[in-house]
Amino acid sequence: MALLKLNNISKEYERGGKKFPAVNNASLEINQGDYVNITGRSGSGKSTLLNIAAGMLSPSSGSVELDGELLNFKSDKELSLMRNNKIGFIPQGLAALNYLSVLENILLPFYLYPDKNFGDADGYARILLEKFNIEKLADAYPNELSGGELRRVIIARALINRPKIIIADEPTADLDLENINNIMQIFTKLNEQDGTTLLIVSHDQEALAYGKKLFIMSEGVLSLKN
Amino acid sequence: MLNKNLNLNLALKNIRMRPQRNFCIILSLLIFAFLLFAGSVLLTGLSNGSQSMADRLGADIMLVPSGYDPHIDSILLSGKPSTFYLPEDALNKLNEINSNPDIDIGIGAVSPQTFLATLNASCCSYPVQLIGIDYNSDFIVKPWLESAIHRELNDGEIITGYHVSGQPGEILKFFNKDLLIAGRLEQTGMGFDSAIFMNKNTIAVLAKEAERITGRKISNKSGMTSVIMLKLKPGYDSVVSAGELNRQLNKHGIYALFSKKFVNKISDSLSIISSIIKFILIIVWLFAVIIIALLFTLSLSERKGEMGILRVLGASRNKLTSLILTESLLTSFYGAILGAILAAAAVFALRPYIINSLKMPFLLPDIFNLILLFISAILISVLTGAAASGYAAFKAGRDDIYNAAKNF
Amino acid sequence: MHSKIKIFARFLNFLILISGVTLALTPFILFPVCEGLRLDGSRMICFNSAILITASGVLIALSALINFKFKNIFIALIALASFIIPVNNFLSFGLCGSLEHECQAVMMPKAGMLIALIILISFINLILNFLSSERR
Repeated sequence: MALLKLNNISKEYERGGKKFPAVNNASLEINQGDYVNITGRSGSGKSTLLNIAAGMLSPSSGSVELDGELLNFKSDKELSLMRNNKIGFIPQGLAALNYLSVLENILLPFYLYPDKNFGDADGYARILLEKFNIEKLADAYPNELSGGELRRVIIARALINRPKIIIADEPTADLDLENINNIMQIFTKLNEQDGTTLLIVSHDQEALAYGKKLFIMSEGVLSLKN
Repeated sequence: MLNKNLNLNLALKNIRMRPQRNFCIILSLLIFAFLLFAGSVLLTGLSNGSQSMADRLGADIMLVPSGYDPHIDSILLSGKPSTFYLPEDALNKLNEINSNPDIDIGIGAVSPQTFLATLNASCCSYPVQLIGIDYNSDFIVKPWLESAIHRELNDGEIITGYHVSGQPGEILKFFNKDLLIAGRLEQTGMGFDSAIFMNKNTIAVLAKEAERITGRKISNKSGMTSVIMLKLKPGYDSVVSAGELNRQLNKHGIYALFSKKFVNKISDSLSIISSIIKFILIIVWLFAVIIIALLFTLSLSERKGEMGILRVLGASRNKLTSLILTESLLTSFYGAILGAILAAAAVFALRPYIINSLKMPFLLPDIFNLILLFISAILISVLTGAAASGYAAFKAGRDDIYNAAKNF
Repeated sequence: MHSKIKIFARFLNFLILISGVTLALTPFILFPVCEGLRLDGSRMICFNSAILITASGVLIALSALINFKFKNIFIALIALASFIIPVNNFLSFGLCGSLEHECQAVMMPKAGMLIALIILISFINLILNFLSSERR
């Protein structure tokens, strides 16, 4: 069974009184353990598709299924809970809360809906920090970190609730080559060693070297590249 | 560190992110809560005071020497010590009128009182008002004097007003005479609080001693009377009767006052003060609402990114709304409680000055009502803060995640 | 931003120190009261209040010098007590009965102003404490 299934997704925007399709009849199936890359020029509709996949944007038509559940017609509360539990979303940019320490930022998704059965969330956050070689930064604040370090913090944050799937929007944007490889190696390790399912949107050629499947998005149309 | 009280944690951290802004919010609610509590205590205190005055001032008409009528309110209200006397035949004149069948003004009970101010001689014998009452005819002071000691007042005994220092059993010395404190009165909010009461014989002795010490004659003959209190029979109007008395007695240097005049005057100024306080409260309330709503809306646009991140991580719309509300409740509560405490302190500290400067009877509400007013002032202020941030709180969760997330 | 608050708080603390010292000096040195004795040789009631106010001033100035938990609340309470107690004739403290006496006419109003200032500052400090983050 597919973990994430997009069926004939379309999304139309209005611009200057005219409708134009940002996403045009896109379909995609991601199975447990997949590592899927989507690339394309900016404005091609990649981010829109990703946001629809994560339940943050509703499609004009088509349906999204995550872990066997249809996202259409779900309430905001249900969608939010699902996003918190099942999806580790890595947004574009350096999206961390500046008034929280690194450790607190990582723990934030856990504390939104604390789960008694989870075990030691704090300990798990520290394990993730160690895994990404940023354990010394636990008590630092985001504005004291370099771009690469902060990106790793955000990845750790996406992992804290042990999600079914990691969805990342341009996780390597604005990074130098060394950091890009660093981040992509983390993703590869997560996929190969822990079996984490990944859906990554990127237009970095270096980033696309990693991953098992590559899709191309062009003018809202999604197609598999062989 | 974060914990299960995420809302509280995030709210506190957020508040501390913008200290200047939140200082303004706290300050505006502090001022509002201060004025709300202080204002309502003041108003209740004044209306309690004037109620007690209306109850205590059992006389319908007072006869005072001409020329003293304008001072009567300050004597009654602030207890300003004064010594003045009616012409010695005042009682006789009154009896003449009373027994004249052509003049029907319905005089019921008649009771003279004698005022004597003590001297400002040595350091601590400051002037207080001594009031001598005629125990046989008195109908004004006696009821509550008796409730203080449950018996008649003997010669050489006194009953002190609430603010006069000295406990029952102690001796106070006036004009070289030792006077035994027999009891102490409850607070009235009026000048009686700083007066000392005794019977006719005692005050006569003191007056004689006073004449000896000062070398000045206080009154011509015995039977010194400062005021005569009159109670009318039912069905007679005190304004009409006072008017008739004035016609008859003004030429003898006696002036008739109807007591309602004070009570009316006081309730007039009470309603003016109460409208002023209400007006100020409304203005300050409006300011607080505008400032808080403005600052929260301002923060909202700055915080789009933060809201976006929280949404992405799985915070529902309601969660964001409650986060903003938690913030405004926290700052409002902090401001409100500080304001109310400050107001309580100010009321207690300044009470003697308030009474003196307002020239109105003032009785603090009892502790139960004070606590009730205190809690309501805090509650209303907190609700004001929460309501003012309501729009921002509602909007916080309603922004499209996709748009919000672009603001990181 | 937070360092600015700290500097401001330090300035306010200094103001409290100065006001505390001035308050301590008010009843006996700046605006002396109750120098005379009663006829029976005892002190006047205002003398007790003068001692109370001096002691409060000293306590307030001392607490401005050291840091401890609930410092601002402590300062506000001390200041408040040194006003409420004499003015309302609590315990055996009080003011001379005559409004014209130094005690009532000069010393207490001056002390009252200082006390109001100290209370206001300690309340502002309370708010600043609440607003300044524990973040290092």
